[in-house]
Amino acid sequence: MDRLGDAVSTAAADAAAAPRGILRDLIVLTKPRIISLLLVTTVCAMFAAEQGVPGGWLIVWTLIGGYMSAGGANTINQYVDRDIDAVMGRTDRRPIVMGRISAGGALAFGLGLVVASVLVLGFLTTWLAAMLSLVGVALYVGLYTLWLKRTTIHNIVIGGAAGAIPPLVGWAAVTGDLSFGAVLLFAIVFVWTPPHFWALALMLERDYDEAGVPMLPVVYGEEATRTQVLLWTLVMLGTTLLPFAAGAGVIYLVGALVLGLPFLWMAWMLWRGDDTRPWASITFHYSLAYLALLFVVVAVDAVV
Amino acid sequence: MRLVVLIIAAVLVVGAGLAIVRSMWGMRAPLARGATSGTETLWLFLPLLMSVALVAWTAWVMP
Repeated sequence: MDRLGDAVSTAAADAAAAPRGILRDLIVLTKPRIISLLLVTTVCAMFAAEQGVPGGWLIVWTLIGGYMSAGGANTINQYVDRDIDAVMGRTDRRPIVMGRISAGGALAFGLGLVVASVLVLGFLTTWLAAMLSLVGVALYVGLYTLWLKRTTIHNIVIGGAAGAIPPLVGWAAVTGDLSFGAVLLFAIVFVWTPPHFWALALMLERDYDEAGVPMLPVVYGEEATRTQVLLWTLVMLGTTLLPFAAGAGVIYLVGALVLGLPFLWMAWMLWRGDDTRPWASITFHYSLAYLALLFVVVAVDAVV
Repeated sequence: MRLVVLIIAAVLVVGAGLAIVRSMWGMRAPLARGATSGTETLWLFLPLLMSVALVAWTAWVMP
């Protein structure tokens, strides 16, 4: 009888846990950790566009729409890439690969999120923001995932345009148009992407090789990749100086230098090639904090 | 002050951009179906052209 009772209670617990498991898998599909960085760039761009503090509800709706847009794109990406996700150690436990979410179900979920994001951003912020978010999805899914990722070593350079769209969405949500300041914020994220992603690729070279993805270190080796990380970090550092030349305050200039020079030093240490893996890891993790903090500096400079 | 910063930025962006093109010039071989040497050349030059345009635009709007 005790055994029967245990079985009944276990079945009941499983039934209760199943919806929670599906919900968790759906959230995992959207890649919330990656989106959090995108949303930091979105919100900080809103402060820059407003040259002050934007309305609270506008921020909330932009964040919700932005999350759904990026989440939809990430979900569709996992639908398309489920074959290579299955052979990469970093991704082989994703919900579609594990069979916890069907491929068709994931695609429908991703497309639904994208449609919902356009409606939320369009009706509750501006239609330019909605259209820009749609352009971001098209760039990520169409240009990066379906075309460039499997065909060229420049995949993450050109594909980086998709990740640079969120500041434009934030800017357009506030002003309804795009000015030069928005273009500069787009450019900063665009040129930040190669050193960020190639540092990660140096850590995951074997995974990408097994999956047949032509990342730079797989095709041309570590030395070529380390050189490109250093050169792109120099381009990035120069690009981050442009907002000051265009009229940003001293707070921004000091912040850009204080955050950018350590990045350059890490890229330099990585380029020397003594300890590629540790320095690739340090550079990659710093790059995440760097972008978030740089955009916080943009916002602070706009408000002060 | 802003002009000095612009000049430093231009040197970094254009100098490193040209170094990127030079170092990757030999890496334009098509790797898979969907890639050609033409598209590879385009992907190589596009970021440099964008960066140069951005520097020029900044000089144009500089206060």
